[in-house]
Amino acid sequence: MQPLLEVQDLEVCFARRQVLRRVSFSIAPGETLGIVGESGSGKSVTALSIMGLLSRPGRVTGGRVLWHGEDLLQLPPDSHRQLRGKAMAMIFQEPMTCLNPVYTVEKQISEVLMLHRGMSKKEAAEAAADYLEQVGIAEPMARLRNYPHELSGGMRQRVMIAMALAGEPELLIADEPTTALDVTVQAQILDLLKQLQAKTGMAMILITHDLGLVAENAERGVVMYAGEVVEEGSVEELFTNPAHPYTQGLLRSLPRWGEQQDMLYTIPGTVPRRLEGIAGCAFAERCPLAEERCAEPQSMHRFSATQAARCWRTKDKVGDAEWQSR
Amino acid sequence: MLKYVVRRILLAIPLVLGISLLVFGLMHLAPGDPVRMLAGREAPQEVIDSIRREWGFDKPFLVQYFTWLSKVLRGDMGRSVISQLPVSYLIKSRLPYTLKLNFWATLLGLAIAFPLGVIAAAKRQTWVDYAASAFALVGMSMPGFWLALVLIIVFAVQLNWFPTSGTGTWAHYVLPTATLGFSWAAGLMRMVRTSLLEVLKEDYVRTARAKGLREKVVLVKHALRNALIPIVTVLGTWLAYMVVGTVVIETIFAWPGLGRLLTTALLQRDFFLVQAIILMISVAVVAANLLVDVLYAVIDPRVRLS
Repeated sequence: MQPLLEVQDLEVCFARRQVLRRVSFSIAPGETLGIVGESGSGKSVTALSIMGLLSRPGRVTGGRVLWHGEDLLQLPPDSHRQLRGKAMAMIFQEPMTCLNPVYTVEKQISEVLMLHRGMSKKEAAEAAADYLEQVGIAEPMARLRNYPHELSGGMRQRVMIAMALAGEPELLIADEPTTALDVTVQAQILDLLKQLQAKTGMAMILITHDLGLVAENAERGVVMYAGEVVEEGSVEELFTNPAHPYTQGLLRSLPRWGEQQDMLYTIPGTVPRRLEGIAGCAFAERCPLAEERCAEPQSMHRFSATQAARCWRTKDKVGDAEWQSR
Repeated sequence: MLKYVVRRILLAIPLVLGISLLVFGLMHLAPGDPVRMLAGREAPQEVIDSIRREWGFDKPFLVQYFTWLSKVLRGDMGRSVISQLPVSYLIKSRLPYTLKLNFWATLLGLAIAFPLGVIAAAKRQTWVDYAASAFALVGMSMPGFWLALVLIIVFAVQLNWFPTSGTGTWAHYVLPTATLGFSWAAGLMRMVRTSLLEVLKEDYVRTARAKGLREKVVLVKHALRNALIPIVTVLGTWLAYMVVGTVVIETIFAWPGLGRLLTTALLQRDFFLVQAIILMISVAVVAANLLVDVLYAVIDPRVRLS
């Protein structure tokens, strides 16, 4: 089956600084893909590049973003624009600042319905109320007349989701959708997203720094480090058999239920600020298992139908015959 | 909304009273005895005393103030010392000219500043932006009176397209309107640009783009409306600036408005006339600020609450 979206060797620079290199992954229709990584690992930049929302000085310098097999990066900007909000929608980390403070909820949702689904103002208002109900907002008719500042953070994120749904997208990119919310609200929002996904059949990219969220909500995961994909695999593979030392480190630093721990494990060191000059593995300087050859560039080593990692040790583990590089 | 407007109006009342007290007090502190001006240099003491009594100048300051205030409230602002005409009549005959000039200048200023500011912000760091910024820099650096003189030399004296001064036809409006409008537009344009650039960084602008809206809609509907909030807040200050500009421009173009009436009255120490015009201008500035406050609430729903 043709993937819904396929990112191939995506490279992004901010001014002259490279922030994304050889990022590749794909997502099938209806699938949920988690992208995990620390802040600064390039998760959001990847999402914005797919949406065509990268703003100056950021720009895509290489690679392809295939949407139903068509390269979005080659599309004229206006054609890419027409896909936004309709074929692919995005919700963001900060529900407090993502809604326009001077327009009512109704206006902001109706806008999508009128633009992408050709509804009249009256039809759009009715449909907007319907979407508010779908995202679990009580008294939708009354809420339509509210301004964003009159709503709580959780409510605003629900409005953002309603707005994203209004274009009936095939893909929803949720960039840290719950990071800014209270823990109880977080669970509600994620349940809502799952439930809506089951109903509409849309695919979802869930971007987060929280491995737990990926485990609970995604089928497959992509682990990013310093602008690169270091490992990808099914959620089960990532959690039971992580191949890359970075993924292993991330898992070790999770607190465990019922286990006595005086100190949480931390990965020593920090994410490198500049990628230039690092030809090989960007994680090598923090990696407890680093060797000399880690300074050399390497590709993803695939060792199962779904799992692959960018680490020499992975290659050794599976043996030369079994791995294919890509 | 209505509650907000009413409260703003109520708050403006003590402000206007305070201003009137200040204007009245300042006039009394200013050198020159109005009674001697009124009576003439050679007048005998009895005449001066009787005028003093008649106008209430022999009473304590506060009594004088309240007598004056109650008269002003009834529309009686005294008589001109020079022409003996009622001050209210003089103001009424000049006010429409000032209003008309300011109206067209404001319109011209807005018509230049907004499109230029929006385009400059949208095309940031391109030649369009640089050209617009250069226009703003030149416009802000040129004093109004200097621009007025240059315009007169070029368009009135050399090209003979427009008259140098006076009123009557539309042609008379061109040069004073252009002078006032341009100097105003330059500063305003810069504000529109800066404010819009600030707003374009906001998350909700990214949301608007993520919806797939056209860039024009993103700019005008989502960004500009928000950018207006800081612009409108300083508009009040700009209006005061415009009043001052009007005084100078009216004098240069011999425009029969309030500004020129004021400069003449000041030079002739026309006590009551000066007092009345300054009061009028002050009240106008307060009223303009009131209007700005209301506009502010119209644009930003968050203001209506507090």
